[in-house]
Amino acid sequence: MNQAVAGETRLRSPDVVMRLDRMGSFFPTRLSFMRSFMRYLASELAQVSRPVWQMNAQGFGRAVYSVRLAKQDYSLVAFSNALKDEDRSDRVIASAWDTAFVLFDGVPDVDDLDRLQKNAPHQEAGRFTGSELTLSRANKSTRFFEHVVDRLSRGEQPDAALLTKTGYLMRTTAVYGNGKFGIADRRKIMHRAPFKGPYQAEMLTVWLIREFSMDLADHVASARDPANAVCLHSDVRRQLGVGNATGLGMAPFLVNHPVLLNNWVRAYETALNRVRAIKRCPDKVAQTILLLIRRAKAHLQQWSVDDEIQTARIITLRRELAEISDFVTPARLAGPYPFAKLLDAAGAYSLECQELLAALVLEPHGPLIDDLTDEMASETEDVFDPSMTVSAVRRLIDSNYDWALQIDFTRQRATEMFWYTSAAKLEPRVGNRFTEPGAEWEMPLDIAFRVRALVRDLAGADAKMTVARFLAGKPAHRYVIQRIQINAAHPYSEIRDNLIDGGCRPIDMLRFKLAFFGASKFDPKSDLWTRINMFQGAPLRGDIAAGDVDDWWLPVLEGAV
Amino acid sequence: MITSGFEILSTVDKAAFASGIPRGQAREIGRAAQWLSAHGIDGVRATLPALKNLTTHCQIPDATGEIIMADARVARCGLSVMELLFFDASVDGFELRAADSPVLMLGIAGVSAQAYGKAVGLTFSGGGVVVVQGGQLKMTGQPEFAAGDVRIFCDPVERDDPVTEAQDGPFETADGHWQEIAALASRIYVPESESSRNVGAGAGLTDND
Repeated sequence: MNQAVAGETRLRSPDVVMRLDRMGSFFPTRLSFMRSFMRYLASELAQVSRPVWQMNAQGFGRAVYSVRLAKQDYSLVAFSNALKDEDRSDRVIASAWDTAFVLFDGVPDVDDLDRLQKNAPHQEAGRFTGSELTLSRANKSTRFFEHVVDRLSRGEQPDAALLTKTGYLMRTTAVYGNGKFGIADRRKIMHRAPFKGPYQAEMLTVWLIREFSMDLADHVASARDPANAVCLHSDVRRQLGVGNATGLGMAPFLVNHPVLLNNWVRAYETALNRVRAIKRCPDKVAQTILLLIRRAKAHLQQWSVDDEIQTARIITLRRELAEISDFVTPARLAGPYPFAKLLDAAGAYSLECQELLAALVLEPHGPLIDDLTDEMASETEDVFDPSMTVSAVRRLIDSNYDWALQIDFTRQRATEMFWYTSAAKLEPRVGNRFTEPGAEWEMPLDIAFRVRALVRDLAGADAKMTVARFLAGKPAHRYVIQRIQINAAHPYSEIRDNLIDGGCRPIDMLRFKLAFFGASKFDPKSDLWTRINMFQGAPLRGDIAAGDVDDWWLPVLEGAV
Repeated sequence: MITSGFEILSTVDKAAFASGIPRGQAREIGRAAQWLSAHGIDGVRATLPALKNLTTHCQIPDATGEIIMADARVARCGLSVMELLFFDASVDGFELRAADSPVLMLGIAGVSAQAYGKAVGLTFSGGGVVVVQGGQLKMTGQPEFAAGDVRIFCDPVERDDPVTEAQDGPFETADGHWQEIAALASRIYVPESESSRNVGAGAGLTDND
């Protein structure tokens, strides 16, 4: 971490931030998309209705949840179907799921519901229209769902330890937006108030799926024993989120949207910088910081995974946070530039500890930083200047791509990995270039390698030649020259590591993106995929009007520690 | 086939890459197809003839003034045509002779004009005249999908032709054309193997916990 002078105004360098190991250490913050989404719902005093609930005793049927935002209606249409255990897979290549969902633009009529019932359960194999804004599916967390239904039907609430261990009733395996399978292009909704920020339609979808999952458990329990069944207690409901299994698809997205990537990180770094610049910490904020440290400690105690690498990191994090909490005293927080000093002190600890503390110090500073969420979307990735000279491109490479030029591509391992789209339901995968077929169709995640190739060809070009003229002869370099130009104006647009190295851990990119979503309890299952929990601790539909929607960073399950 | 704009862009992008167009350039071909569809012209149909027989190299001559190119392969040279026209002061215009897809050249010109905030005119050998400025299209006659000549120039004269603004999707593509472009795109999908399934893919094999 930078050894910053207290109160300095420079953002952290991309060379520090945009490294895979640090990106793989990120935590959710109050700028995360789930948090900004909940604040928006509160600003609209959003009310959710359930105009359709057609479920049999086993919980199979269809339902509609509607919400009015900025004078327009949106509806989650949910379908619940019987599924054999052998068909239940959280791979994107599965072909059947317990539940299927679309976010509908408006309130669907019966014809809409009938049409969607024929298509939504088939997901990628169905066809959709511009009335659908997202498409998703989820499987029940079978053992926990059955446990909850069983307990409720006997008039009891779920076991606290099981609730802590699982934390959700359903787990999504994909939430599609932006024109996939015929649904509406993002262009249709990007200027509507609820969806200006990144992934807000997807957040609305998942938040409503959470409501549906709990209503479904209540419904099945009630049907099982109408005389004795109770509903999930509101405290328990709040502790339930929506699980998600996330695979490789998120990693190419980050590389393919460099302006968007930059905007997320720039907002985060700007927020950090604003907080670092605070000269005096009011007593009330200091008390909140101390509370948040206690909460973070409790959260870490409840964060338990099977993955050995992450388990070791969590153990380290618990120890480091305990040490840090000794350092963070009311007296120190009362001194000048307390947050800059705290973040500098964190530099002696693990990357995960540094980023946890960064997220923590942002938390009490909503009025200072929440406006930054307005700048996290990007309307276009089309940045290209054909009039730039070859010498200017060379200078940009020298100043911004030193990290790429330092990679030794003579090592076979440096180019071992390639990313491709599998013919099996178009799932992104990685392979070994030297032992597996398909490298000729690899996705362009080999940025550093392309920069090296460009440098070689630029060496023979006239320095005054324009990019337009250069590309007329060497069109293969268009992709990387565009990235270099984007990076000049968007310094956080590039992941500064070799994404085709045999030792690359895609999980770092997944965690980074999921942290920006606002997910917590990262549960890596390999270097290639992870499970997470979304909206755990978030307000329920009945909580919005009460206005207390913003205090759920790093949720702690009460009574479970 | 009714599709979203994204489906047109991404499918044409993949098809162009599968046909030998480099990354980056292929993406722009996808954008051109999407732009055409948004302006009421079938972008997929426009793209297909430009992705055939791309083994022929199509080098823009290192010349000045009005540059004439014979046997023009629009998918290969179209982007450079627009960039040199807009940003190389020594270039006055282009005449693409026997262009494989004049209407794809219109799509590329449309995307470029919009991106760079410039105006461009195109005249087609069939008599069509088009002016593109910003996101607007003014066109006389019907789009020409057959191979032919097309002339491209800056600073076109203002015309009174009806204005076509970009529309949001969905867009219609003839089933046969969609199947053809999708088949081309599918060439970049790598067949799965036991190894790729077990080692290269994210997520687990069962979801019964």
